[in-house]
Amino acid sequence: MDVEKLFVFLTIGVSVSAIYAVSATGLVVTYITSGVFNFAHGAIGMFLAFVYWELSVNQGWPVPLALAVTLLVIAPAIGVALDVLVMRRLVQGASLATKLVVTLALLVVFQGAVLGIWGVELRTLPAFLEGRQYSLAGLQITYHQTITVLAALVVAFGLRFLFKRTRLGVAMRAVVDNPELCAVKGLSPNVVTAASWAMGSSLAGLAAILIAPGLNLEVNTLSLLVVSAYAAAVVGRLQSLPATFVGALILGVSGELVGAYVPAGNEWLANLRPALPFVLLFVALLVRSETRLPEKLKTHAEPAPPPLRTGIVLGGLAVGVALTVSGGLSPFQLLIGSKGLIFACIVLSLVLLTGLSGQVSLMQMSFVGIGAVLVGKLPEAFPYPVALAVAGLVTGLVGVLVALPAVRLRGIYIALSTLAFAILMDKIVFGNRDVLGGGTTLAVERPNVFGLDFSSERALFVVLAVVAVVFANLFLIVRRSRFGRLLTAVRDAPNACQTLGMDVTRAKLKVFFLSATMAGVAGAFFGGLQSRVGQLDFLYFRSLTVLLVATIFGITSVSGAFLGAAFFVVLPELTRNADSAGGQALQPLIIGLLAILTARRPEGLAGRLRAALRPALRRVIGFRPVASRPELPIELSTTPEIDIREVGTVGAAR
Amino acid sequence: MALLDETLIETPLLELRGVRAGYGGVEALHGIDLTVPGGSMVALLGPNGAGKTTTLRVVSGLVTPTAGSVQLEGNEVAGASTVALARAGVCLIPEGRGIFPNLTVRENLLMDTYAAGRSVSQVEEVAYARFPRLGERRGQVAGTMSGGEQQMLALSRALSSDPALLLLDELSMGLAPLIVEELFAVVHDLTTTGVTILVVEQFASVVLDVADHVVVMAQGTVRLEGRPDDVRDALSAAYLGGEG
Ligand SMILES: Nc1ncnc2c1ncn2[C@@H]1O[C@H](COP(=O)(O)OP(=O)(O)OP(=O)(O)O)[C@@H](O)[C@H]1O
Ligand SMILES: [Mg+2]
Repeated sequence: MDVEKLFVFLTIGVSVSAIYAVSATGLVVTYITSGVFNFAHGAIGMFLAFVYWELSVNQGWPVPLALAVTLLVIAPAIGVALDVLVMRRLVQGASLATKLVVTLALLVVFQGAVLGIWGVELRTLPAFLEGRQYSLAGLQITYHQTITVLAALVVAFGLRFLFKRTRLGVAMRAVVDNPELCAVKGLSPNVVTAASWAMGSSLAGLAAILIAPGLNLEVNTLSLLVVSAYAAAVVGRLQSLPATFVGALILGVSGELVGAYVPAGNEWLANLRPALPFVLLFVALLVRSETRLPEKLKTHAEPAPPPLRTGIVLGGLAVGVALTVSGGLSPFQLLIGSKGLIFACIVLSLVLLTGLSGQVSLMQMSFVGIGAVLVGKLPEAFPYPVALAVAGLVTGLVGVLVALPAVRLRGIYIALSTLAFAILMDKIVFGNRDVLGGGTTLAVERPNVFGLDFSSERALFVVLAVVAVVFANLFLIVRRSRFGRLLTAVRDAPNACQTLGMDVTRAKLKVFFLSATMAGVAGAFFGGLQSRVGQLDFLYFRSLTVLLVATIFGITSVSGAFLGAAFFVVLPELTRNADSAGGQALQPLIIGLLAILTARRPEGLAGRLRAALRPALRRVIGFRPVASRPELPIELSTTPEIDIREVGTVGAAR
Repeated sequence: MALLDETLIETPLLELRGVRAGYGGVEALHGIDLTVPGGSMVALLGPNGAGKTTTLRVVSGLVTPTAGSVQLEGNEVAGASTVALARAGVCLIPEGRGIFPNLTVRENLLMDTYAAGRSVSQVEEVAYARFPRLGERRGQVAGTMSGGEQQMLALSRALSSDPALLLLDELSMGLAPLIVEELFAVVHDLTTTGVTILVVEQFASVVLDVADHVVVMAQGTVRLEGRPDDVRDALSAAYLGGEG
């Protein structure tokens, strides 16, 4: 074995590890002090790398000055602003899904901001002391690598000093222990969390600035690097900084070694390297176990499901309307309508998963992609209904597989696991030349049942209306069922359910299967509607958009799903007139900001609309919806939190 | 004129008038009147769920009253922030253990410097002088100490921060009589230095001998108040009559 080559790659691996460690440290510090896992961590770093580029390259400031202003002024300011404007409002009693959605929305907002400010052209960021290197024991080491490793060491020892020796650091740990006692002792916990967000933001920026020279200064690549930091943080159980450093070291070094020794000829293996962080994140999720922390959750209101008959009658009416109206629509209008219906189906799969069972999936579009690709790839010999069934079932099984490692852990790990899987799918399946990659597209047939051809735009539109109605009723049936009530219980009081002997894991897996199946079926139609699908259709990023739009309009109800679908097809038309870069930036900014504003109320805009319409409806037709839970003599916003610890002990005592 | 002078001198340090407060819309205090003259020690007694802790939480700003007034040295403080009140000298030693379990003894004392305006070495000196057992354990993680030691650590804050008003919530909870005696000896010393104290206890015997004035609460209202000797006799009746 070539020892010299090994050492070369070890050197690179160590410097990459150092960057992961810096980023992961920032993530962990903010997570433990504020309880918010910041999915925007990488995007904040990315934004700061652009700011640094602007100052040092574009404005020509000296490097130390640009660095100091970026990391010691702008980064902390962003961190504090985020804490004050967004995070602080979340901490009290927000559900996991809400916290997740808000940081995801921030991710989208920061990406939109960078696109809006700096556009899409490719840029490079020079390394520190570009091109200079020295040799040590026969190894060529660049100054940039050296600075990187030194920076990580400074961060490691600096934090150790901070947490052990300074009043602020001790206060940060004290806030984790008991924020109320901090206030009682005359120290505002808000000051401490603001400080930790400032630190987290600086560390995110430092990591991005250190790693950017090896890559292009580009929105997606930089935002995604953080997944390696996630993996490292998971190794540290989201709390231990030393273990996080170890995780970063394993990740960085193994990544380089795989790059060095895995033969480049094989397409699947060549794709493995960029996918490695995600694989390792999975492994980290698999091997770690934890004692479940008591989670405080907020219950939320959702409309009572109408009786089955109402659902079917309304659905039948909708299909009838679709059938008649479609006659007068142009093919383009039909296409838009069909797109909306498919999107409604996809959102309904999320309403079931996130709205009803409280789990968050960041890979719903990957499920859609799997469904589409399966129908496209299955031999012609398969009749369409069989292909559709296969697509649904296989996607469902993939869903179970993804949920399996994380389903017993805190909700945050399901989100991480699905995000990792979505990116993995991007890289090794949808990006693979054998499947979709390299600019190729795959033809997907349209429905064709027993010789009946539904491939005209109008026929497809009507078929999709039927599918959407079936999906909506399926969701309502689940919700009315025993299983649905179990899911609600699991969502609102997981620990209590476990204590009462319910099989929480099984219920979660079942709903994951169902949701993925729905998304897979929707994907089959999605492919048919477009006739051809490509890699870009299923980018992980689209899954985030779907989740955000679903949240804006209400992730707990059928009406929310349809409103969201309408928005989703209308938005591109609205932003079409903006020039290309501006338009690209506008959509994420609108969606992200709306999501941040509405995330606190899971019932979304649809819920508010229903609340506004209810009195009018009542007056006109005497319509009286049944409340889903007995009216409490208190306002909804002050619904007492269920303290799981208490519920748990009551259950145990029985 | 003499009357006016007397009221001026006796402006109470803490005065609650008609205070109502609750949690999430469920009222726990239904109009509490309470006066704590400066330099005195008032005991607040009552059965479980009477609202004693809630009263202290209102005074320390952790719960905002929905009605009524809370005055500290004549200034209205209802709605003031906990942090501001702590810095103004309101020192709450909360129910349970008022410590950070994952911090060491020394680090816990470091957290006392925020309200005290003293350096950590001064805070340590005072605490270790009064509780030598803490001095022996300064590097120990606080959560691993015995209940009594944890309570000493919590009480240390009262020693070094010169509180204007000390609020003690069930100092004796779950502790052996000997330790309780030791802690109350410290509290007694504090009264002699002029600290005003409002002390909550479930068990009357601990405080009846040391308090100047006793208030008995039940179900969110004040049921009885007076000098310790007067209250002592009526007390069991209040406990039994808690339902009516
Ligand atoms: N965080 C809370 N949320 C909801 N209700 C609460 C909360 N804390 C107290 N309560 C309620 O307020 C009422 C008064 O409680 P409080 O803790 O003030 O009583 P207490 O007199 O201190 O009782 P104990 O002697 O048991 O400590 C009780 O009915 C209690 O259930
Ligand atoms: Mg109490």
